[in-house]
Amino acid sequence: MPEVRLEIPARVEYLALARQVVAAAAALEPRFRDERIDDLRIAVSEATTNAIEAHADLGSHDRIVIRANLGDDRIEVEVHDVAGGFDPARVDAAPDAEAPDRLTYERGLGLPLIRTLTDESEIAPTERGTAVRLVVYSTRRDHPG
Amino acid sequence: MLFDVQVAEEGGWSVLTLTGELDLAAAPAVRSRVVALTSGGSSRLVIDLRGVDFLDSAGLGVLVGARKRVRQIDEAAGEVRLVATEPQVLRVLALAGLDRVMDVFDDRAAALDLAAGEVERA
Repeated sequence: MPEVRLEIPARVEYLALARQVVAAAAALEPRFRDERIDDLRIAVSEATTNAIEAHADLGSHDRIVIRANLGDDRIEVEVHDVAGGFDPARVDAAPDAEAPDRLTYERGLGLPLIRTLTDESEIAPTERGTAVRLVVYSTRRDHPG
Repeated sequence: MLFDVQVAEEGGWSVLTLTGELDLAAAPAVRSRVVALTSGGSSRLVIDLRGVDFLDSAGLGVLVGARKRVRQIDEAAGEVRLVATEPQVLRVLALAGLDRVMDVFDDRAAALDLAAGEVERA
């Protein structure tokens, strides 16, 4: 399984590059339809945005590492930050789109998008920070939420 | 791939025309224009996203913030209308449920009340 590894400064100017590299890696596998690559592009943007913001909150100058592993029918992407721990249970995620106070939230929209757009996603603490794992299959899997 | 925001007054609306990828890098430029417009009393905004080819949650946050600010200055008549045709943008608006609470047009003239043709809401 070929791996693409990208290391970027934790700065917003590098978000577009992260999206482009991962989308280009997925496009190497002709089975990935454009819509799935778009899903991946958004999910990677969200995970990298969270990592950049976490570094900014901490004033960290460490780099963010993004690894993409392309399989026959799936791509797995990991976004690693080194900005201390992150507890997904404590994230102030925006409520469901149906909730009446939904539109008072200008932040917290990212994690729900990640869950909707990927087939698998996982946020786990690492020794020095957080790893977000995203899996997108070439054909959408039925999954809850 | 520079992000660009143009602002114009048209038919009683303040129109923001955005070009590029609306993400965390681009969000502050749009937010500051929205804040300047609403601080100057504009409560009717059209945000033209036809030139936006990528939208994520940071961009959604700006749109939600714009709606909140126009309502703060004019709760009754404050309004943000969106113009969007890019499939990726329309999809993210729908996934976040924004298309249910903000009017989304596929035509700029329609958004400005210059012609009929509101896009049917999901």
